[in-house]
Amino acid sequence: MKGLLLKELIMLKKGSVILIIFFILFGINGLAGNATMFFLFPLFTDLLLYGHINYDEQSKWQQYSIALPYGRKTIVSSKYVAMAVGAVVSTAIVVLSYGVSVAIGKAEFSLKSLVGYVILSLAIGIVYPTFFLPLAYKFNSEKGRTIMLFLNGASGAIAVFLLTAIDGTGIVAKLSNYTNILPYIAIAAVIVLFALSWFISVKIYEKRDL
Amino acid sequence: MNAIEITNLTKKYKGFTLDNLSLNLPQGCIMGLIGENGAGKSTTIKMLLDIVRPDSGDIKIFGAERSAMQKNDIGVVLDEVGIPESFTIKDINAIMKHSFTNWNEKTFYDYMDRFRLPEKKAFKTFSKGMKMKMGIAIALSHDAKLLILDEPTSGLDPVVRDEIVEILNDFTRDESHSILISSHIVSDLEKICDYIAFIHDGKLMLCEEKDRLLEQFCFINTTEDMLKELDKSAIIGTKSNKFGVEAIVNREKIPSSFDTQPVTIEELFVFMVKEAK
Repeated sequence: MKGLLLKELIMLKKGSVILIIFFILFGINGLAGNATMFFLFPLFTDLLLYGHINYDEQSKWQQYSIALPYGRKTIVSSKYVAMAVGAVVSTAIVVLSYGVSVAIGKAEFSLKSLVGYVILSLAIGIVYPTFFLPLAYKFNSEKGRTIMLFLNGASGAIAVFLLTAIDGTGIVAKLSNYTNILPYIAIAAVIVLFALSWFISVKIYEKRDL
Repeated sequence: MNAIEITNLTKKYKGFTLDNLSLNLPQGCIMGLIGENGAGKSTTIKMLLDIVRPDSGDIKIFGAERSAMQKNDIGVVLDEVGIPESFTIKDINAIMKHSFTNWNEKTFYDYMDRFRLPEKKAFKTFSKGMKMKMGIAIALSHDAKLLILDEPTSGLDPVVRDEIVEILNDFTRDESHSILISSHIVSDLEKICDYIAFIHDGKLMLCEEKDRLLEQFCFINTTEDMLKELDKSAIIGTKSNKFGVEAIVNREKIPSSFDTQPVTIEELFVFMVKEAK
């Protein structure tokens, strides 16, 4: 799987200029007081990694990678690993940005906020691929693109809802309370859904013609 | 041992069926898969490589069921080399090094020099011939024992095609190396193949040693009346002109009094396909 992950990394590096520009824009906006902008880091990373699937199909890498010493399960798994690593790295950037906000006096440090940032960032980074990866493997790139547009809209709406709620009301407030059991149940549910999504994607990919 | 064993392979699409195809490629041999565009060559190769799932049938490589690890011993060139377009030679080497257990970096860079492929340019800037050479270089840089090539010379100029044929000839100097190569450019295959398999409209028309085919079949120039007197099973295909009839026949099934001329694989293929239509 190492070669497949390296390929994702190289592709991400090739698109790093856009990634860095957007991260700087989100970061500046976040540090200016709009902390919800930080949560666009994981969402944007997901979008870039999803773009690789379309790119793989267009460049015929999807077919070529089967000729390399990888099974279909490994190929699918590599995308999930890349998405999970992307979620963790972008969460680290969110935490770092929160730290900078605290350091320059734009936010006050609280463990509750930190846990909230980590849970929401991971959730955005993981939940998004959980739903779209099986669809991407099920349909060809044309249909996948249409579904992707719909998912972008839906996930955007969900993100806006969650980001609005981070200020201290509703379920998100409970999710960010680390003394409550809810955040841990939420994390467990996200992991289970992600694993289930991987299982479904593998089954789909093992049956289809490429 | 056979490098490839295909038994009763079937794949149905809307409007096309690859029908019950069986063939064996003995180890150390080169087999050319010949057919028109859309005859089923690429479908066969894609099923061999697990890109397409067969509806039924069995495939064995080196006598064993296919597996991911086994692909370390198989070099593949598809009609479109599926390298991400922004990748450079360095990127490609890095990925392959971490993919193939037997990747030989020196061999790869030697091929890059031999093919004069630009080190710093992205794959998307390569010409079709350069892309195909890259595909061949990758296939030959991990000590493969079997090459599976789908239309590697299609769309290339004669000089590059000749160069590729020469490289494949070099590969088969090792007696344990085998090649399955598909093409509709029959003249390329005629130069290098030991075995020829004709596919037409999803069916295998014949699979035979090339030399035996050239020995077995021949041209005759005759008249319509004389042709009618021949055993029908002797006639592979005919072409009428104002002087009479040109026919490809089975040498063993015609009287020795006929004046025969040698046939090429391309002529045999064209006559067979026309007769089948």
